[in-house]
Parts: sequence; structure tokens; C-alpha cells
Amino acid sequence: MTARACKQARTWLEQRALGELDGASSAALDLHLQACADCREEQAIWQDLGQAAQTAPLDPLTPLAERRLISGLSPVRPTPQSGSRRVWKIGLAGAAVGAAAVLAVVFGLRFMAEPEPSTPAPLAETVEGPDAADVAPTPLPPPVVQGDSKPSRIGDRLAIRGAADGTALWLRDGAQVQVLRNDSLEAHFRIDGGYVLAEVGANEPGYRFTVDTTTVRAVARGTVFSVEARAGGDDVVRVVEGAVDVSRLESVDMPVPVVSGEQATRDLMYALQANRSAIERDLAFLVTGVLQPALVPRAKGSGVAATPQLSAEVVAPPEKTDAQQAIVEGRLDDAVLLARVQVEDQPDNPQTVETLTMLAQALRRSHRYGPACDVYQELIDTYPGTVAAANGQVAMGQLELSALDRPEDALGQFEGYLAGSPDGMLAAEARLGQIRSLAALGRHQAVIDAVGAYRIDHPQGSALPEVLLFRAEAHRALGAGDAACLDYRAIVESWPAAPQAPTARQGLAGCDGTPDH
Amino acid sequence: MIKLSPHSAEIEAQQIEALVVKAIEGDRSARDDLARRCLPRVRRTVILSFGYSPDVDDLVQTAMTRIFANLESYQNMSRFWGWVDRITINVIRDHFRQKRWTVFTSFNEEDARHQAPRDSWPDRESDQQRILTQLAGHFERIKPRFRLPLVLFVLQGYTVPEIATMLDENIHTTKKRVLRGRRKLIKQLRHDPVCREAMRELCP
Repeated sequence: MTARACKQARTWLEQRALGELDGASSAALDLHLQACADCREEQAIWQDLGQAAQTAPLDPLTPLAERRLISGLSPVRPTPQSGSRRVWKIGLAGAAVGAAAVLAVVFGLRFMAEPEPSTPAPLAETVEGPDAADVAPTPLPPPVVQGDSKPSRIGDRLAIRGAADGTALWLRDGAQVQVLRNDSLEAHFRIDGGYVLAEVGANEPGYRFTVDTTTVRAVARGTVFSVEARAGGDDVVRVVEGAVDVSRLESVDMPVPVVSGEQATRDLMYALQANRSAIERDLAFLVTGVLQPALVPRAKGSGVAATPQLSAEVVAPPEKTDAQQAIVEGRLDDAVLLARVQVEDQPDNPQTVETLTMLAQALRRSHRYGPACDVYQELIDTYPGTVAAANGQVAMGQLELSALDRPEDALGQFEGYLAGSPDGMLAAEARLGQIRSLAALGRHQAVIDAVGAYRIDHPQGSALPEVLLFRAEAHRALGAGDAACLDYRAIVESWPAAPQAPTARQGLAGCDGTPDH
Repeated sequence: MIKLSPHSAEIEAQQIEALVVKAIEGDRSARDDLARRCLPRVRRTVILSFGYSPDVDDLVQTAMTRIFANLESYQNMSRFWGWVDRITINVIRDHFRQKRWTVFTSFNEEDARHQAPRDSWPDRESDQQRILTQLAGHFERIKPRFRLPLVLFVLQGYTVPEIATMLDENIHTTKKRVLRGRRKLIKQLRHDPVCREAMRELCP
């Protein structure tokens, strides 16, 4: 084929693509295509391109993403009624509020419940114009006062003031919730029983969304997660989307990041793959009709949701001290100075203890372990005998052991805690820290003794496979191979999925009389 | 191109018409159903016009919100998808303008928008699943002023006069842009045998 013929053919192909090629030229083009592979290729590319662009599979949206997209759309306009100039407008995207029903929730605090919405229920409404006065508000039910306890109903929702659109706490039947704090900086809830689902929108930097049970704390931003507070403290945090930092409530452990599809419990304070059906059930609460998006009526010009919302009397958190404010804002150097001033000026203020604890944790989170230890030491020295000081010992011991490589110092902290608070909330952590420190120091017999104490005090402890592995290694180091094999076998048989199991299997392979040998 | 038979197209148009009417009257389930039908089309248009980026979801949301906020202003039932596409394209154009990209200007786009070839294309095994990503990458390397008419031409099958109307451009200009975009796209695809093969598998 000549270059000139191909050039003409390309022009014809373009005209054909535009639908402008006449019959004679079309016939000539087809003749050329029969003989020219290059031009055939161009035609094939163009033909495939259209079909591929139209039919290539899209990445499927998750049901949650689809729900968000659709629920964030403009509300449909109800059929206009004569004499009414009510205008329904777009509300906040995702300002979905609970079902058709209304809040009759509340637990240990006071807030206003929303009236039953009329049908059809818009996502939000704006009342405009002179007829706004025609919209007589439905009388609100009497507020629930402090101390009242009322079980929630399916679909009840706490609208969260100050948070991004779409931030909400959904409640199932029987959920018992306390609002500890709810303002532009933080939403903090405590679940005493039942099931809640938190949907956290994209909030301002620094905004903190926390859900506590009696045993665990979940801190999240931009995510969806559920919290089940179960009898006996066997609480579960399950993450549907995004990530949540989970920690034991009274613990100074570093929070465990739990991501989508995972869960964490008090006893297993590391992320585990969640039961798929449980995640799907969480999702179903959002996507299906159990928890409907509902409405946040907005008063004209106010920009603030009228109802439902927590009333101003709901929460009366103590004012932040200057040091605490600096911590929240991430000004840690300022916070250190301000905390010192606070300790000197207000040593008896209960807030001071909290300030030191907050500061130490913030420093630790920012990997400033040395200064964090200094603050913990200040806490321990200034407020001996307090729970905060005792907890500070464990926290400091963990830092000294794992971050600062000072096992001897760490051992002192852990043993100090165990001596002062043998039955404390962190006794298991302290004993584990003691065992780790002793192992790091090569004090094998002491490891064996400490593991024995751990097993007696915490027979169901979540760290059992780890401490047994320490003991096995200690036995082996002391030449007691049989005892080591017993511990290896116990790990493999009792916790086959534990992170220590592979090491234990290797150890067991060296034991007599094992199938692996 | 996949075209609905006249009968299927008529049925679909009737369904859409009914959904629009119900949605305007306040039927939430109709609105949601309509939204679910619109969503894939809007996403596909945005992805091919804009490429995969973190802004895609925002653009889709903006387009969907604008469509449903203006649902009452939609009049001609037979052209619902054209109305949807026009809004979507306008959202994309607005976004380009806000980004101060060189869309629809005489600025030297080639310099401003020049992009190096992607470092790596997706694995061969997943081409079928990722073909839209690959195509979006090829479209992305075409200047926006040529890309948008080309997307409407290739993806939605609009004629040049229709595209010119949607983009408020001269027909002659639109035709030139479609053809220039087409040449560039074919040239790129000729040098991407992996994508070509995936397209062939998708369109036997």
C-alpha cells in the first residue's frame, strides 16, 4: 500500500466515524481495508474503543458509598399544596437522621426530641418567605432530664452538633448511651449496653469522635464502625469502613488500629478479621430500611439544624485548661510549659492530673518518648497513690522497654505497679511487661516464675500464648527441654492461630515424640 | 456501539419518564431508583473525561446533586440522558476552570498538560477488570478541549452537531476537536498492545 493511499483511507475512516462517508468512497475504503493491515488495525481500534468505553466494567460502588451518594441528593419536592409556599431545598449531603421516628432517646442527659416527621420526609428542609410563620412547629415532647433512662428504639439517632455532615450515631433497640461531650471539637459517647453504629463524616482536623464502652475506647475519623457493649465487658468494636483506633478504656496501651473488615475486643486487643456476616449486618442497618435516613429541618439563615439535636444543657464538660487546649491543638512544646505552670499553680485541681496524662499520651503519640517519660515521672512523683500515677508507671515501663531499650528501668516500673496495685486494671499488662523485661534481661528463672504468676492471676489472659512462649524459651535456655516442649505444645494446641504458633511449631519440631519431628 | 433496539429504547424512555414524574412528585423510592440508573452513566462520563483521581467522587456527587436539584427544570422526556450528560459535562468543565487548567482557552496546553507515560500499566491478568482505568489513562493524555467532545462522541454516541450544542461551540470547531482527539487516541492505543488486547477480549 502506498502512503498516499493510506492517507486517503485514514481520511475516509474519519469521515465514516463521523457518518459523513458517501457510498462510493465507502466502497473504495473497504477495498483498501482488505489489502491494508495497518488501516484495518485503525478501524478495529476505533470499533473496539466505542464498545469498550461503554461496556468496560466500572469499579463497583460499595453499598455504603452508593447510599451516601443517593441519600445526599436533593430531596424530592412534595406535591405542592394549595396556599402553601413551602419550599423544600437541598439539605446537607448525608445529613441523614434516623428513621421516620424521632428521638425518644437519651440516657443520663437532657435533650430535645424531634417530632414525628410528616410524609414524605425530606432529607432536609428550608422554610422560606413570609409563609415561614405558617409552619407551626410540632410541640416537642418534654425533654428527658438528667438521670432519666429510657431505652432507645430502632432507628433512633443522635444528631451530632458541630460535626461534619453525615456524622451520626445510630442506635438499636435497647442501646444505653450517655453523651459525655458533644461540641465542635469532640463528640464523646459512652455505651453502657446494646449496639450502636457510628457514621463519622469528614470532619475538621482535630475533631475527635470517641465511643467508649465500659471496657474499650474507639476513636475514629471519617469512618463507619459499630460498637456492641455486651454483658461481662466482652465488648466488640467492628469496623465497616475506614479505620478506628481501639484501646482498652483504662489502659495505657498504644491504640490498636482496626481497619475495614476487622474487629477488636477487650481481651483480644489486636485486630482480627471480623465475621463477614456481622459486617454485612452492620452495613445492612445503614443500607436497608432498618435505619432510614431522616431529616434535619433547618431554620432559614441559621445554618444550624433546628431539631433533632442535643440541647445546650446536655453536656457540661469542664473547661479545658490552657495546657489541654494546647495539647488538642498539637502545640506540644507550649503544652509542656503550660502543664508545668498548671502543676505549680493548681496542684489540687483534678484537671491537672488529666492534663499530665493527656500530655504524656500526646507526646507518646508523636514519638517523643523521652519527654513522655518525663511527664509520666512527674505524674508519678506528684500524685503518688492515684490511679493515674499507677497507670503512668505501666505506660512508662512500656516506653522504656520497647522504645528506649531500658529493660531494667522498665522492670522497676512494672514491678512498682504490681506492688502497689496487684489487682489493678492494668495488672495483666504490668505482669506481661515484667515478663518481657525479664526475658530481655536474660533472667530465665525469673521469667518462669513470673509466667506462673501470670497464669494464676490471669488464667484467661489474652497474652497467654506470648508468655508461654517466653517460658518455653526460658526453659530451653536453662536446659529443661521437656518443660519447653510442654509449653510449645500448649501453644500449638490451644492457640493454633496465635502469632506465636509458628514459632511454637518450630520449637515443637525439635521435641521428641512429636509427629513433626 | 451498543444501541438499544427502538422498542427497548422506547420502553426505557417510558420508564425514565415515569420515574422522573414520580420523583418530582415526591416519591423517594422513584428518586432513588432514578439515581441508581443515572449513577453508572455519570461515573463513566466523569472517569473518562477526567481520569481516575481523588476528585472523581466529588465530581460525581456534584453532578448527581445538580441533576436532582434541577429535576423539575427538565422538560423534554425523550432526551433525559442528553440532559444528564450535559449537566455532567458542565460540572467537569466547571471543575477544569476552577483548577485553572487550560480547557477551552488558547493557552499552550501541550506544555501545561503534558504528561509522561504512566510508569506501569496494570497487570496483564487484571486487564479485563481495569480496562476502564486504562482507557481513562489514555483519554487523560489528550488535551481537555479535545477530550470532552471525544468522550461524548465515543462514549455516548452523540453526533458532532449535538456535541457542539452541548458544549456551546461551533460545529466546525467541534468536528476538528473530535477528529484530533481521535487521531491522538488511536495513536496511543496502537502503542499499548495490552490495552488493545483487553479491548479485543471485551469486544469479541
